[in-house]
Amino acid sequence: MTDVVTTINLAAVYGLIGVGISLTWAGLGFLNLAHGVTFAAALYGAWWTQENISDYPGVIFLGGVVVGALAGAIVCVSVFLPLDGRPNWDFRSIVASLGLSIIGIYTFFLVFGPQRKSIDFLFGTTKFKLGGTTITADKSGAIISANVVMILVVVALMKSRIGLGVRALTQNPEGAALVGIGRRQAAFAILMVSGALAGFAAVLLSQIFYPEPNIGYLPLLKGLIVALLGGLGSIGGAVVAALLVGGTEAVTSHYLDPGWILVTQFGLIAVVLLVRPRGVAGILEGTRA
Amino acid sequence: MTAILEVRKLSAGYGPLRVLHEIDLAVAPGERVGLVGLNGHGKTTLLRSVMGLVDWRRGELELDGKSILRTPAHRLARAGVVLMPQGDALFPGLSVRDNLDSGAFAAGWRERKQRRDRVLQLFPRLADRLGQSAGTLSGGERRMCSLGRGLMTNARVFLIDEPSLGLAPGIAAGLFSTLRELDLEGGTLILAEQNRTLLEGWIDRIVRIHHGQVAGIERGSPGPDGGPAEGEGPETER
Amino acid sequence: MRKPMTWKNAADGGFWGGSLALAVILFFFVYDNAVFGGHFTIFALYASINLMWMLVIGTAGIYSFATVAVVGSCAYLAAFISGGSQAGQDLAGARSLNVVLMLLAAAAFGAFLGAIIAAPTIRLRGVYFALFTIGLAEVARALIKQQEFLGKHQGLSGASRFLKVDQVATETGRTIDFFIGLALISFCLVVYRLVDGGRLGLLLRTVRESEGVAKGIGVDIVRARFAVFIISSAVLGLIGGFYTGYYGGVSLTIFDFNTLLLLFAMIVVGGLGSAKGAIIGTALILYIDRTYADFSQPAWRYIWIGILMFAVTLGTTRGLVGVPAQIREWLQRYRARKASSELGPPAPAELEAPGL
Repeated sequence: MTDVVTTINLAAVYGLIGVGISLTWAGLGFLNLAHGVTFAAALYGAWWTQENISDYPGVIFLGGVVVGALAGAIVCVSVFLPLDGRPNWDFRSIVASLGLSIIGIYTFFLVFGPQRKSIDFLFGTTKFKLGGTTITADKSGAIISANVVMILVVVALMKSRIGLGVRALTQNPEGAALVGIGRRQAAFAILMVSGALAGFAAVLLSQIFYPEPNIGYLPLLKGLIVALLGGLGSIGGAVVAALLVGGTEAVTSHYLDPGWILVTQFGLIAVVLLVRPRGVAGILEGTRA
Repeated sequence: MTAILEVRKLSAGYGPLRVLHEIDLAVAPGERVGLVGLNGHGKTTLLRSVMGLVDWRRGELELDGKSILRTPAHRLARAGVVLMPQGDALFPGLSVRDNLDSGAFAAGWRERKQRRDRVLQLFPRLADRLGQSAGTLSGGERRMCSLGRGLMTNARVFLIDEPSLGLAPGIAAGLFSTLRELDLEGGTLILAEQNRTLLEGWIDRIVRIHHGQVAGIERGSPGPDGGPAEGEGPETER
Repeated sequence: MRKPMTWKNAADGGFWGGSLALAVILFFFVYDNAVFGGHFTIFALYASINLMWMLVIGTAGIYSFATVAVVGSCAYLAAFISGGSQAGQDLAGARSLNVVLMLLAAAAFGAFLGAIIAAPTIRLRGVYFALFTIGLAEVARALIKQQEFLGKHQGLSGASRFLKVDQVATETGRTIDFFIGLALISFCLVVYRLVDGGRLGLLLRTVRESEGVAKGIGVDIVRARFAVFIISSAVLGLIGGFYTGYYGGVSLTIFDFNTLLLLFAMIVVGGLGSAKGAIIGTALILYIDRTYADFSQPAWRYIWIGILMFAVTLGTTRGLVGVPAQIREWLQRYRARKASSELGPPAPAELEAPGL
């Protein structure tokens, strides 16, 4: 039972990060490796808010989300806009985002020092029992809010005007331009929203992932796994993939050793991709690559 | 007559290849212009140059007297110029409804519904397919969807690129009878079409493009007795 | 067949001859051998790795990130079969192995690994394959970490090495190491030249540009890809053997993600697709790395490397090695623009791609 709870917890959070990467990639053709440092920035932002502004959980959340969105805007301005349309731009933008990532991580080192900071419990410290296992308020709060946000994101994508614009962009960039959707404006929207989502995910995970310089590496890796496993731009695929990834992690750490988590997750990727090179989306659509 | 769209000495091309050579064209409000000519001679490039979808262009391009040479395609789309391109440029994973709605995505939902109803009146086939994803439509339905999306934008300048391409003659004819009925509401229509006979009887002016230049202009006649003027032979190719 | 004497060929010759001379001069005349020797060993290893990586990423256009994993695994193999153990003793000479045999074994194991890595390229592409290879590296590390006989966290030591025990840390020893390093780089340069400049390279480039066309003219794509992976991995395995030969052992730090990142920065800064790029990039990044390594704030080292990576990617199309060509193109464009009338198309490089 704890496994199920852990799975859903991790899945919801990895899903938030993975969806951001997936949309950025499908909508803009840009694999954003700076997403990890965005995650870290948001964590530091939340911590800084806690230290300097207010202890109130809602404000801390806001701090994380705002910094995440800002980080997304920085990525847009410094990586995407300068390179868009230039020769070899898809490779160069990935590398530039990696470079930005490195600069960011070690700047955090300099400014905040290597020790980890801590963020208080955001949902209180009460516990309760469900089906024979103890669940902390923190964990349930994280699960519920992550899922709520995930649902909101999906709804917004499917029903809202901006969501339609983003989906159109992922399907046919020329068609999108012809109906008035500007790529550069969309880039800001997509990068800032995915940054905000990463920020939200970061704060939710702040009891497991503490603010420290290199903290963004694992979330980035998990987000990449979810995005790739789910298939480019497929939200449904990302959700399923997030569950698979979260589930693998929970099961591995329970039955084997946490050190084997990445091994089993990559094993999962290998199996899925070798069977369906387009990822879960390929399976969902019943099509081959 | 003040032209809505004015093209002066327009040269354009892709990479090192120049396709258009100093084209002049002025289109008046309410006018329907047809572009004819052989494949590869510049009909499509002319339409795309107006929209800003070519590698480079030189010359002058004005919409309502204001230069649009530096205007990117998406902003031009919002300024009231719509291109219905070859290949349709639909969103294959989105439903027909979403595809249509994307044309009016800047409008409020009420306005959008109104426009959609009008489009569905013109293309009733689409009404049955609203929930279907556009990638599964037949060729003719895809063309209707693309034209429908263009009509949702409430544009003033319609650029349509070879709507009969790849369609069976019966379906193409049906499409054209719809286009003929279109109320431009003071806007203008530029239609590139290989099959000249489809332009007979409703196009105001036929511009012949040959090797990237304007090779001839004829009055199309909106009456039953249309025919080529100035002794020019047939130049269309199936 | 003599190469024609053009400016480019003269410049190339100057580059390689000059680099060789520079290396020798630096080693013998400028630096204290102890310091420079150590740096040069790392440089030799990294530059060689990057040359082989260049064949896969540059010539073949396949984004593989398994390079370090191959080197590391083969280093472990080399250490193990030549008698290395956790305790570090040469087990009564029982498994002590001639260095050359160790190197050959490492290379063979590398070729074997290369075949394994090449297999998924049949189905996986681009970033998917890249992620797959990163995963392989993680798997390799996790597997090795668990094994008792591979030394777990401490790694293996006491393996065969190039220098005899009494030669280590002497001038003679360092000189031997230096020339071994030089030999390694030269070997890799030759391999690079043979593959990239030869028929395989041509095939790979064709496949890279357009798979459809390649298939159409009868290129066996799968075989070409297998070939480049096996060849480059065999040499990578050899480099792993050299690693063990130099240090007499190996530990898990060889699988550090930071190492992979550093190597990637080197080939990106230098420029994909040329041997010169690999050398220049390795030298430059390593220089920064070593210069700032002693500072009390190690963070600056990576910040500078990150900035360099970022700046080169934004400012150059093909890395530093492509800068002269870029400047030439820019000058061409500039002159054409000054001379152009209203009639002609702009010079090829002036591409405003509005809306696309």
